[in-house]
Amino acid sequence: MYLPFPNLQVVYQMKLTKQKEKKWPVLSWIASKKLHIIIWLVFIFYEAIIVGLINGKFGRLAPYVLYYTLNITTFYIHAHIVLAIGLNKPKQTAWKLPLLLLVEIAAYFSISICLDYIIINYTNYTGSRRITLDLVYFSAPLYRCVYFMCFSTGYYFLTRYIKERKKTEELEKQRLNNLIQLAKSENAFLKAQIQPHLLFNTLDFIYQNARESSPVAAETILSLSEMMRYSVDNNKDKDFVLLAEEINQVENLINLHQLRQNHGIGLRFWYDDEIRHIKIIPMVLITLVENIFKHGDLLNEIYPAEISIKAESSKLIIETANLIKDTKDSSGLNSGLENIKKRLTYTYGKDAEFKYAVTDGNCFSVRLSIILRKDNQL
Amino acid sequence: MKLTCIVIDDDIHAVNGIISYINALANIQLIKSYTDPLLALNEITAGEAVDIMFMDVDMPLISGLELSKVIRHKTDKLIFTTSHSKYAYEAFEMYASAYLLKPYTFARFAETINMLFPKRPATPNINLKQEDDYFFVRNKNDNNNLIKVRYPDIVAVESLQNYVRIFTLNETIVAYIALSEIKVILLNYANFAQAHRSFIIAKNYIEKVEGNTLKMINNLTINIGSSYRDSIQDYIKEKTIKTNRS
Repeated sequence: MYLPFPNLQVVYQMKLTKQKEKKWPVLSWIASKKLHIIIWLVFIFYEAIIVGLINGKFGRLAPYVLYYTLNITTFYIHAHIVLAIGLNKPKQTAWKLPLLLLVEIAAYFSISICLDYIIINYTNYTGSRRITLDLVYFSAPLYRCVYFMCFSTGYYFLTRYIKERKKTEELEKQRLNNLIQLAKSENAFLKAQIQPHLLFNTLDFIYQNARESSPVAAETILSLSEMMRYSVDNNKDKDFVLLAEEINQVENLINLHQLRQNHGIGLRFWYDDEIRHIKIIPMVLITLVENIFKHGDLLNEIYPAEISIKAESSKLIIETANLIKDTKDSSGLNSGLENIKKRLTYTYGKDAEFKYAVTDGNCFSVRLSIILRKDNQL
Repeated sequence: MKLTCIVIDDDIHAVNGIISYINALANIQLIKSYTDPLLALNEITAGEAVDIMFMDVDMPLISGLELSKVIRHKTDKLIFTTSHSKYAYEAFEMYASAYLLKPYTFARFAETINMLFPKRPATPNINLKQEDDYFFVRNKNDNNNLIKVRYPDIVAVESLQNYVRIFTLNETIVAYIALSEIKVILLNYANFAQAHRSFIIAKNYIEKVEGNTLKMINNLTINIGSSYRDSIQDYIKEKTIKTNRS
């Protein structure tokens, strides 16, 4: 049902959250970066412990804070800026990337020198490090810089990969949606061409004429026109149909085949009227019955085909059993059944069980059971 | 008291169709039929009221909707007949008591009338004297020639939409009659009971009862429908002898 105005309560909630965000933008930003923060804290903790254990003592807070700030900043700058720009245009990567890396390392070194200066001169630094500006001095910052740059590179490619994956999923969804739209419009186009008014008027005319002279033809027309009415009336596009409607179509289909085979078909359709109120996804029952007519041997009086629908212990159970025709034309059978299986899984998930098998050489049986939920709507 | 009705349809075949359905029902009679809507308009406004009016929707000169506005008060119930006007019949619902989509079966016709007049249900117009222990039906497999069927020979009767399959001890006959019609006759005899929506059985030919399944003398296996279970079980219980010792 289309509501022109959203639920008032929802609007109120949205207002509250927006106000909260305005007052504490920092808080909400922190909340969104939860994962990053947790990982960094764990990492810092681990490094601190390891280094402390190796060296036998722990350093002061100031160096930790300063250096980790530098490193973490390097991490993010490397991922979001250096690599993003460097790898942006593959043709320019050859000169852009090395250039940016050099700039980055140079910047890192300069800041590192500054920090060292601050730490040695302005805090209670008791360590042995001095700013000597030689190879030995720079090896530590180089090591740390490269270390974090490597992590950062990994992070960059990981996020890129995730983004690409999401994009492909979106595209796939779009593609499927387009297919659905296409099918729907084809359907509408075909329906528009049929002109139901003329169709049913003519069918009625033939029916009236045929009743006296050929009741079989008249009966055939009745069943046929009921089936056409069902397909013209747009029922297949709904998500659920009443079992009553599909059962009517099945009975029309059976009737059509019986009339054509001079009522020689052996087929029993068992169901109690209570199950008519149950809703189910369309085109499952009728596809199973169509299969029986396509692939079944129904002219054997001793073994008629059986279709049964029943509801017991809050499950809907549909079963069919029939002899198989001798001609090996089971070409369309498996794809039709697999399609049904897919649609059932899509709508009902684990609530639906669909099994089919050939037993005793040439008896084909199908069993579908769906767990019923309240309101008789599966 | 039979229900009185008038039929208005510009298609003579449709008129004849309805008339044949009306003749098959015992509780309804035709007063007049019209293929000219203007004539219908004049005569009906001057005439007496009836119980049911069957009116076609698409007619030349005057549409069913306009006509019904004028003569709606001359009938108790108004039934529109139309081939396919899903959009239109919503408008008609203001005036119409029911609608019939062409082509429609006799069963649908009778069902509609019964729904509108539940206190005067339609029964098929079949007169059979009870003393005879046989009847004739048209055998579809024998050029629709009439064949005699004796009640004691009937094992079961299966519904095939507007046909039935009559299983007798010696043969199987497919006849052009609906189960709902033949039911009226068969259920007058105590030996016949309905076991399922599509089956009427002769109780004396039940050979085995396996749970909710009956096996008949000709190896026919019939599931008992839930609405018929109680009466069948009662019958079986009546006829069961068992020890008083348990």
